Amino acid sequence: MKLDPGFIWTSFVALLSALPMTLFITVVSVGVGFVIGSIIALLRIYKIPVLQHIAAFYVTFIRGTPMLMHLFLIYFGLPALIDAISGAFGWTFTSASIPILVFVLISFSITAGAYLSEVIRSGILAVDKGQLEAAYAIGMKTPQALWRIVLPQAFAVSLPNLSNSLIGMLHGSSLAFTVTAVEIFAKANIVATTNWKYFEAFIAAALLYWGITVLIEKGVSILEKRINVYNRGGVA
Amino acid sequence: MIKLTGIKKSFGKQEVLKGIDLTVEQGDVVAILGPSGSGKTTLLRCINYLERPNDGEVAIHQFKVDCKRASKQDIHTLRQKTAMVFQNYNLFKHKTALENVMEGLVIVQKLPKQKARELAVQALEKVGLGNKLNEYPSRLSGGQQQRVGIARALALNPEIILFDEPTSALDPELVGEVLAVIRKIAGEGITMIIVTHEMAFARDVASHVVFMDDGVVVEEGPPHQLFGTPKEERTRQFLKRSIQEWSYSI
Amino acid sequence: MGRRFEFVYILDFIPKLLGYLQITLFIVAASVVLGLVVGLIVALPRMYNIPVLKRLSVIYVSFFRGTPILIQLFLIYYGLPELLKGISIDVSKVPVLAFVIFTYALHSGAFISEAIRAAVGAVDRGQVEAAYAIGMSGFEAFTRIVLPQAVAISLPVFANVVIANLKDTSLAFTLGAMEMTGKSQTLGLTTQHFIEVYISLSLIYFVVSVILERLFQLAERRMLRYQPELASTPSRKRQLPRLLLPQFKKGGEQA
Repeated sequence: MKLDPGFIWTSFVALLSALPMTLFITVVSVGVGFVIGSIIALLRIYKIPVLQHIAAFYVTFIRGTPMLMHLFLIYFGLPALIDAISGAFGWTFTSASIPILVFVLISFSITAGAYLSEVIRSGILAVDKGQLEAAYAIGMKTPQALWRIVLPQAFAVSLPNLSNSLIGMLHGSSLAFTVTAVEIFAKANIVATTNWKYFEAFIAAALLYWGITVLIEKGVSILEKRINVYNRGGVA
Repeated sequence: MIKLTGIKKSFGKQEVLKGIDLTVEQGDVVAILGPSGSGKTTLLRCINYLERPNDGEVAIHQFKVDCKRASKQDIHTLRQKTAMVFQNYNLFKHKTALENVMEGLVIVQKLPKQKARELAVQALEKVGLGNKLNEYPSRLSGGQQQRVGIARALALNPEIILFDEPTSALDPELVGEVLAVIRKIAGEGITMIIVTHEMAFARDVASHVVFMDDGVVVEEGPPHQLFGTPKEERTRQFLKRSIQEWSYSI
Repeated sequence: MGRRFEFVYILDFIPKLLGYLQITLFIVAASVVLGLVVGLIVALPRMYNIPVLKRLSVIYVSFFRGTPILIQLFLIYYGLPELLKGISIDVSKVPVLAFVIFTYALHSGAFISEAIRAAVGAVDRGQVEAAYAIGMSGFEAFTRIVLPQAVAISLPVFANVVIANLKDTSLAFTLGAMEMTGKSQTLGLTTQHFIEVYISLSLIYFVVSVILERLFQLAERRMLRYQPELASTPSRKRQLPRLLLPQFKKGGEQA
């Protein structure tokens, strides 16, 4: 079996059909994860009784276990739970009518939520307390101060970490193949096995992921430069 | 005797030192004064090759280093003959005060640990820190850190100690303790060059004062002459400005 | 999809899975140790600015950070034997585990090299100057002054690499490697109690991660004893490279 460079290109083109799925999974899980993460972060920053501890445990547990476990637990556990509830109430609804993709999205959002909550929390905490005080001093209310003063600065600080999370979730989305969602990696597997050209197919997949990653990094670094205008110079 | 001849140094296109000659006799305390950007710190750093001059020669007694031909070994030897006290102390952050002072003795001078320890304790006692031997730099005040820095230089028993603005990173109330220590060791006949902004100190302690501006030595001489009857207009201007600044700060 | 949930299975599975924990830990340990070597080799050309090699190491790091580890696993597993066949080395008898370890070593090497570079860069330039000024050689200055500080600085990032590696070992089952997750697959299939087995497995990963994290925190506290406040300042986090998925230490709370 010799390396067939031509087939790398063939696979690459074939993989493009799975690109939207990968991007969809990534964007949805990061988007929903961001909402979850913000809520979790605020619960912890404002030290809401009981809830802050639940939030902390959620974050520790998710960060302490492989993403694959989250996927498996949701994929196997959630349908069982739904069916049990459905059965108990005598509904005709069963989990079988829910597409697999939904479980993938739920699980990845839960994963992303935990990581993003840490990004958001540290971003907010990194903003100098004096900024908030100055906002109050000129008569702003808390939501105004958060929205106009703290958040923009927190966003600038956390941009690199946000980009990391995004890339992490992009790469993580390859796990979806284990539950038969056809994203890039699953597609590569299919292309590889049907043609008996594993190496070529995975090279193509690697190039595709690499390309998207580099694009994200470049995009973020441009954004970072724009956003950090106020932060230039000074003694670092 | 330390002798600098024709020291030149450029950073990119900017020529910071334009050919400096300077002779320091044994036991001299030389103060280098001058406005910011005049090249005085760069000159000091050229002496132990933290900056490599583009041209010129550094000589300590018979040991001469021509920058064009300086080998790694030459530079190494030069550094063993000199010691430096930095503006922002540069104490080794992961070592205690005592370890900071011992480090050079053990690693560079290869003294046995016991002996190094004795010398280090002595040096630290001399700068008044006999009670802070086992403190890490992060737990010391700026003034104390700088005194450790001085002890570190002193313990090496170098031919000359180079002080690079030793008090300019300090809070005003801590300047005094450091100057007092420098004054004390100056009285012991140790050769030193001090780049400083402390006019009064330079006047009192230095045996020789050098005024630099724009990469050249404008004027040098004993303090009473340079402060009392400066010959050059540039020196007069500088002194006038500096004295005004003092009065503002009071 | 499997049988009814029964709690006892969770307890039943834990000891069975623990029997394979050592394999998981072996993969982690072996790949991290190799990864350190790889990381150092990859970091050197960039720290010393060696032409060509520098570019190669940039590409290396970019690739291993820019692609999913799953892809890397498959690439090495299917690609390496073919490449080696080209120079007539037969690796068809080499166990899967070796490929897994090799992949994870290359993968963590990329992250470790960034950690090394960042940490060395984070050591104050004045430290080296002071070392030179008391007459140390370049080597002495590096080993006695820069390295100890750099190791302490990079410890949190290193901890993250290790823990991420632990979690990533769960992917080795896709190649049929028999570590904990591989075992969980067989247990799940034979008993049809999937949920229980994954709960057990998650608990084990969780406990091991937490223990590792605590150990690293202890080590960090010890190594940074010269700078007690450093371990928790957020400003320091920003000097560090952005490695891996978010990797914040608990320290953020004190900001």
